[in-house]
Amino acid sequence: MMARDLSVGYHLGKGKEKVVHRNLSFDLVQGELTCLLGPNGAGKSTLLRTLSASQPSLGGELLFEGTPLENLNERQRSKLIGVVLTDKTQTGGLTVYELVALGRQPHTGFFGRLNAHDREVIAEAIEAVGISHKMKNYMAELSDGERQKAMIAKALVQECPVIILDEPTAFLDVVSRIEIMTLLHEIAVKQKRTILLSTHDIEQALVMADRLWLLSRAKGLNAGVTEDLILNGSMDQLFDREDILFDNNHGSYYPRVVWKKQMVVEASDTILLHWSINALNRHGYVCFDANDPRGAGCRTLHVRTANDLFFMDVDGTINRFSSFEEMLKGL
Amino acid sequence: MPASKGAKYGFFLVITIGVLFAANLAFGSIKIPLGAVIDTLIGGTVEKESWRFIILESRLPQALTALFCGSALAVSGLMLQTVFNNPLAGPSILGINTGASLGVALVMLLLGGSITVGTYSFSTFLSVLVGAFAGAMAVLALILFFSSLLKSNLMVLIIGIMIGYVTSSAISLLNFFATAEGVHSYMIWGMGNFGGVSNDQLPFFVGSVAVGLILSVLLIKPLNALLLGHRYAENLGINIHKIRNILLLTVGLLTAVTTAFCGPIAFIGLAVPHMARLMLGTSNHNSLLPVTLLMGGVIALTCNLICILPGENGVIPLNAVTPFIGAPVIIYVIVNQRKIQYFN
Repeated sequence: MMARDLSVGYHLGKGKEKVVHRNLSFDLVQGELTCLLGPNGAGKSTLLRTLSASQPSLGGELLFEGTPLENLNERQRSKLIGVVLTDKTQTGGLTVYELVALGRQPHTGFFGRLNAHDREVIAEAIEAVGISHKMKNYMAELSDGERQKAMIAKALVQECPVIILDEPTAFLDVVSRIEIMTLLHEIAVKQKRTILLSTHDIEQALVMADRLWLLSRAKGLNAGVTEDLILNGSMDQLFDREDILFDNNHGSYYPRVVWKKQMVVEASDTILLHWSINALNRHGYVCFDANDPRGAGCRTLHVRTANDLFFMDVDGTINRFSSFEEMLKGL
Repeated sequence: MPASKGAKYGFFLVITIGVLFAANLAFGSIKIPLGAVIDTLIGGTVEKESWRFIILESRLPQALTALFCGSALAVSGLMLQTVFNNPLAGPSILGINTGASLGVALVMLLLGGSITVGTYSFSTFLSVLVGAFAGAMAVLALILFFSSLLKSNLMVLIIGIMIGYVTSSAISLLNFFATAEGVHSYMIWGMGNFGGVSNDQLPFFVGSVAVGLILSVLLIKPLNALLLGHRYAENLGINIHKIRNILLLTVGLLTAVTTAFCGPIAFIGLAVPHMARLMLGTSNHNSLLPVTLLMGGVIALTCNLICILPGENGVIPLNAVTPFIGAPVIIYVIVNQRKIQYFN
């Protein structure tokens, strides 16, 4: 699926429009998991709604394998694009099987009768997302994670080449988040589908996404393979805040330390170093290494192991601690 | 599995309808022995000719009317509750019943009971019919218009409520300026009555309701998709505007016909879908719609039986009975909301 000079936004009536983004051009690559990241209000949901044809574009072209999306009727589109949203539904009284079966509607006849092939596809999808044991339960009885998996299974049975998900892991715990991201990536690669999802879970996105779309109001859409975007500094510029920085090493955002105090830190390995700096930053200390001239005249924290730390002051005084808790109390 | 549960309940309901139907024929304000009832039905000789007349010309059409009216209202209520995602939706909520009532009020109170259009002149009862139809269809046209403007189901529902209020006040105004007899006739009509359909009007009544019921059965698949909300339903290939319009037209037809012939009947459309859902435990319209349809018939026949209970002492008005069945169901559902799965 691709776009050229696409403008997305809203019609405000009386011929006025609110353009959220213009001149977007991108390619959604088949067989890959693409994650859409960006600050709140960047227009992620607007873009996703436009791509899933839930909302008309304000200009430009949006094509699926060469055909403009708006030329297709809803029946044709229902076989091309499947969605997973955060919308509330009235499906509490449906069993998991019945809900997933709704995804077959584009393929079934007048009364939605399921034939043997339909039943096969449904069973496979429920198995793939890992909720076969809950197949006969009502949706109201499921946990949030299981419900989300059921909705993903429903999108799978629609047998669409493109699946678009709007914050699919929004209310889930980390285990469910990883399970779902892994599942989606597997589906993209093994079933050669095109999967695009928006998320605020940057940590998992950087691990599982083949491609990132970084969307911001100021700079529009910046697309590329995950590692390229991390290493060319794009992640630093995604959130336009001076006081929030991106840690290229660990793939996470963190707040800039307000420079109150200084300390030199020496540790016997990188893990101890990272976490010592983490603790000291939290207490308002900017940390330097032993060779940094800016650290001259400061106390030094030596970390040999997690249970063997000591402060050495400029005058030679040493204070020993056997845990981070003690050390931080002794600051 | 839910499907066979639906079939089981459906079968049970059909039996119940049969029993209630027979009871409606056997009991009434005039005492008629059971033997005579059976004789009349199988075409044998009956002791008193008046008995045959009562059974065939009064009780039989009344029972049939109740059956079809109950089904029509129940199915209308179910469709409205699904499309507006609102468990409190019903035919009266959209103001269609009120629109029909306004049409009737105009005929009875303003036009003095007859309408002359061109060379056609409608007699009293027919004028009431025409008035109810016109009123219901006018409100329906308004709802359709707003439905095409607004994508949000909730907003359309609120517009329906507002229209209902406006038509209600128009009715109050007409009542205020009317004669005592006019107000009295209108009040009696407003109490609801299954006995208002004569044998020659019956085919038209049954036919119209049947058309509406068939249309509703054809809507089962999109109704299930609508449970997901309009964005998911669109993604599954449903044209929301088209489906909503067909649905509202079907509901309009069913409620206009029932209100025109039987007066505005409260609570059946609102409560029966909940009863069906509680019984079946499912929101799947594949079984829910047919069961709601049958249950509507059961409830209506039951209400009719209660209405003629006093026997020789008179008849209880219909709209005095339906709330006693309907309101407890709604209160039960609201109080037990958290435990009821289709609410979550």
